[in-house]
Amino acid sequence: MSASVQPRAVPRATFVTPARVATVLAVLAVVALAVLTASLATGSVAVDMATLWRALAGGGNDTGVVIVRDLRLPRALAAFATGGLLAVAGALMQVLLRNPLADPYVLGLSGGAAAGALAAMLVGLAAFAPPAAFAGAFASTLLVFGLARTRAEQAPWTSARLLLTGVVVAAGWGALISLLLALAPDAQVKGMLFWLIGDLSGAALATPALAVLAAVLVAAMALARELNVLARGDDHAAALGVAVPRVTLALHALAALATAAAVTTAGSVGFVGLVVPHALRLAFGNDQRLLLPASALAGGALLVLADTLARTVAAPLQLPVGVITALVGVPVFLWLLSRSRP
Amino acid sequence: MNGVAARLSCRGLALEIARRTLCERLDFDAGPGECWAIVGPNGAGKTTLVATLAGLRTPAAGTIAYDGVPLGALSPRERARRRGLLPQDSVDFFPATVLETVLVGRHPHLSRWQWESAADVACARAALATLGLGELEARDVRTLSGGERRRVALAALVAQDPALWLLDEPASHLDLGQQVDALGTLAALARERGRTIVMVVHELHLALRYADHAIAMGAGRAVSGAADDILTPQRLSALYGHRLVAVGNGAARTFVPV
Repeated sequence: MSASVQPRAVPRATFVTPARVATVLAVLAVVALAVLTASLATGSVAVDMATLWRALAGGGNDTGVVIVRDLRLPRALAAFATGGLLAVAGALMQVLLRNPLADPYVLGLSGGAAAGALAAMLVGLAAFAPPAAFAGAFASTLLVFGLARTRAEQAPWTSARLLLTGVVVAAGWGALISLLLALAPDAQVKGMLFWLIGDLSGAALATPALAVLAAVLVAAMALARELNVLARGDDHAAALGVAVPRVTLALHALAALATAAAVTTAGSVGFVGLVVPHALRLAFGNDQRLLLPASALAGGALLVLADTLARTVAAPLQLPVGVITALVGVPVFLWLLSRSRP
Repeated sequence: MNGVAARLSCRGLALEIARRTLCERLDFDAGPGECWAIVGPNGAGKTTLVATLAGLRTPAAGTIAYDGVPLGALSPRERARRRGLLPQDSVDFFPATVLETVLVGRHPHLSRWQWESAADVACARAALATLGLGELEARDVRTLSGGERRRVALAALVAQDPALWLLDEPASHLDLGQQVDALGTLAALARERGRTIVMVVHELHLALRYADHAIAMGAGRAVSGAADDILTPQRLSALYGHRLVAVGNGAARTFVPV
């Protein structure tokens, strides 16, 4: 897990200005809107632009309008929120752990969420899987931070200790998940597997996830310049007046909240949180004032695209979206990695 | 100092690390325009002393004040506006241009939602030019040589522009010519702007050339005073546990082991 991605001279501006942030975000917002529109129009029933507009404007009750308004729109928004949350959480974790290969699940949070959700499904309370996932994620985070705490008053948490604790706690959750799968009756196993891979077909409500995304993004943006300094190391940040323990803990809490909200919405979708911030960093540099909002838009757009593919490529069969993100994410990530070979 | 508080003052400072005493009852006052060298063998506690002077470590005993204000009364941000710290080493985990890296030095001067102004960018560019890095501002820091990175870190400190410059081995990674160029530039700039330098140096020729005051650390003790009193072959021979003799004259004077 050592941060060994080597430099490659990427031509870009020498520093990030508000105008540059506005330009990049405007382009990404247009892309995200285009992907959302395409997602709403695509599916087993094709919907034309006029129907789409009526559905969004709230008029009519014909089949096309109902499909878009009641089925595709909530699902697309849930996908957007989940993707945005995972990408923002990934960007935060990469800086906090000073490791460009960190992802939102690196501290074992998704294992706790999965154990919670699967346990709820096993006892026949599938409807309570989302809150159980959230509780599992929360418990896992508390466990990792409690166990990794050192006696050093100035720096109670070091990234090496957090990573090691997270990896071991995740292994523990993995064993528990295997046990739950082994105990589950055959009829329930498929639903559990879909949850583990990441699936939006049962995504309940987009609004809470979108609200968490907005809140996390605003809070993280308030700390974005501190995060830029933290990216240079804890000592450096402390020397430049960053209250390192407090800011680090706040950022970890934001990343955990974002990840928990994402897995609660769609299960443990992989690779978005790893690939999106990494690719954006290669393209636009590491200034968090650009990287964080860009991650939200690009991560959201990517997951909407992936979910549209998941429900159309093998129609009428619906694939779990995590299969698509991993199938696309793995080669893309390997390509990025080989491009940055020294 | 005629009632005017010193830029940096230490009273009865004691440092401990893992229950080992590094120094006790260290007193000194460093004023504007002065350059202090901290010398001593490896493990004597020089880096610990600098980190403590920067307020990043709590001393075992004693008080530290900037311009008469005790460190405890200053928030981390207020400290960062008054003093800068050049760490011994810096690691570049992520891609960043040279200009971005130097602009980070402006962080303590900006409020939460404030963006670097044209004046901040001009300040960072001037710092780069001072250290002879003007041509490199668009380069990724991770493609630079060790010496260039060190000068980028020094430029970030110059851009931060605090009154007190705490430097931990500023000349590390620099070749002999760069050592004299970079430190000569910093020393001249500090004198001109009335800044105070307190630096850890291993290279005795640099301490002898630039420091007007010195702190010698070793064997659990630290003594401070005028450079001429502290940086003597007799005292440093005892400190390093090896006989040193003076060679050369003026700027070229140094001590060499025999």
